[in-house]
Amino acid sequence: MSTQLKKGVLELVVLSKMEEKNRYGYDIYQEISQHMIISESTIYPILRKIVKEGLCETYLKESTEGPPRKYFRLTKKGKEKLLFLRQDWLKFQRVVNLMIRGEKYE
Amino acid sequence: MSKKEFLQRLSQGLDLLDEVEKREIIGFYEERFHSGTAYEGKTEEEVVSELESPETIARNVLEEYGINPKFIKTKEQRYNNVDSGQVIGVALFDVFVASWLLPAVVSISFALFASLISYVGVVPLIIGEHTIADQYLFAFLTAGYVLLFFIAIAILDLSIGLIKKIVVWHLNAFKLKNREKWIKKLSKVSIDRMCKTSGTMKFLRSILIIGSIVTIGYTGYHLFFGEQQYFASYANIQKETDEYYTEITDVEKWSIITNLDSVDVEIKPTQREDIYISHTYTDNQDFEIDVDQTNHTITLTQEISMVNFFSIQDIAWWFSDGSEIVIEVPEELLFETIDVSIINGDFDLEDASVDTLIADVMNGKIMITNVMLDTDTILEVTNGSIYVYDTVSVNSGDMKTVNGNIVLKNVVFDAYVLRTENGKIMLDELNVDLQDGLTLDAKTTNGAIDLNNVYVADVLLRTTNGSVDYFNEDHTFILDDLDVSTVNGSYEGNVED
Repeated sequence: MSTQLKKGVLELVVLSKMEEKNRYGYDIYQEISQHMIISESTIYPILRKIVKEGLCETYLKESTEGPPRKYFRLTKKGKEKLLFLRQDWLKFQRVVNLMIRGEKYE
Repeated sequence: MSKKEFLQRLSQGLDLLDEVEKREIIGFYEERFHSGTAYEGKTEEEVVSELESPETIARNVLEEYGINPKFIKTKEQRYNNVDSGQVIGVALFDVFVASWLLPAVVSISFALFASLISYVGVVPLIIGEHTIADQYLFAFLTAGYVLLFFIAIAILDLSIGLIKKIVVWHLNAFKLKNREKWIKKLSKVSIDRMCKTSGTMKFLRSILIIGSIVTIGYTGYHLFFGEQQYFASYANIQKETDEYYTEITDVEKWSIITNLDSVDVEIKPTQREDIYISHTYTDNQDFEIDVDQTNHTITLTQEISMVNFFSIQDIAWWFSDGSEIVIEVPEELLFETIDVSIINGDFDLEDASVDTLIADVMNGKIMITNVMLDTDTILEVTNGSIYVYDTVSVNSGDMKTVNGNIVLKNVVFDAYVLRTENGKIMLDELNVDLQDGLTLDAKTTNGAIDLNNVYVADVLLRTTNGSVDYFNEDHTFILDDLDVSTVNGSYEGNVED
């Protein structure tokens, strides 16, 4: 899959993963990398961006096995943004599909 | 690669990012290492092998921030905005100005602080018996010391400010990273600021300074201008005079031997029948006079004081003329020996006939006028000049000083040895009548040698940094030997050998 395509939707994917449950950075990466090949180093700056825009907040969670991890939790603003992005994506997907098919069947 | 090295290289790669973002990104990787080692039981190296290289990560991260590393200036290029002219200016300033200016200012303030120790000398003013003047003087000096303390602090603060200015200038000239942070930190270093931030300190300082100025004004007025004129009373400190009379029973030669500390000594003839000695002083200093009638010797001694602490007596002494011993003798009295030793003071000998004259003065001058001498004469001074006028000897004269001149006028000696380090040697009319001088050996390091009508057969004149002049009116007088040497001076004269 083209990296350029992936980058465009990465924010949406990350927000979706956070919506499922509160996760830590590496967890989010592992979740996504099961489905698409992606560099860890592109995920972290996106997480930073999301935090900065106030779409999610972080908290430290103690663990019995090791040092505490930084967890990400969606904010209300983040949930709204996710909803918006999802609609955007569906529209976009439809338009792109239309255009791709149009070319093929003409 | 270890975790530490990995994170270090990553941090370097992310140098372009601002500090917070960089910290956050590195935070993710630190956590990533924790996940790998603590939760999954891998080694640091294994975690590193899972990850991309720090450089690749840095590139990707920067790209996510919209920075394309390909189009970023290299590190050196980033310093291109450093103005080389300014850097050269700073370097020149460092070498030619900062190198002496800063140590100078700092040492001035330190010296002032150190001088505060002399306050110890002020304290005795109010210990024990003391007058109201002592109290005023104590308050006056104490206030002075307080002000001095604040002046020292002000100068120290000035030097700190100067150093700060120069450091900031350097930081700016070299366009150092994070310099704003450093400049901000530096701006907090200041004694003046410390006083300003602490209310009590500020209050205390104001009180002390105002109090000192008021004290100096008040006590100073009383000390100098008040009705009682306390300082004036110190200036006119009462001198006392002790008098001693020594009968002369038979016509014998007398000797005077002195061993004195701080006093002028004058020996002169009068119309008297006895020897009269007056001692005028502000501080007796255990002065002792011993008259030995059988050996016809008068011995004057004084306790030689060690270097003592600054005391009120010293101040008084500066205002007064010091002590003095005057020895008046009958005109016809002959001296066998005059042996004078003085630490601080002048020695003055007039109109006398002496077999042996020895004078040793440390700080002061020796003045010999109209004296008849028999055996060898020795005059020595450390700081001061030697003057010999209208004096005749059938033997040699040995005169030495370190810092001072040697002046001889209308004098007859057999042989002369004259030495000074920093001073002139001026000889006028030596052995004029009989033209019978045998040898003259004059030497000075820093000073001129000036001879006028000196009729001595064998003359040796040496100076390092001075000129030599030698003129005689009687051109028929031919020297046996004339040896003149000067290193940095010239020789002028009309005498021949």
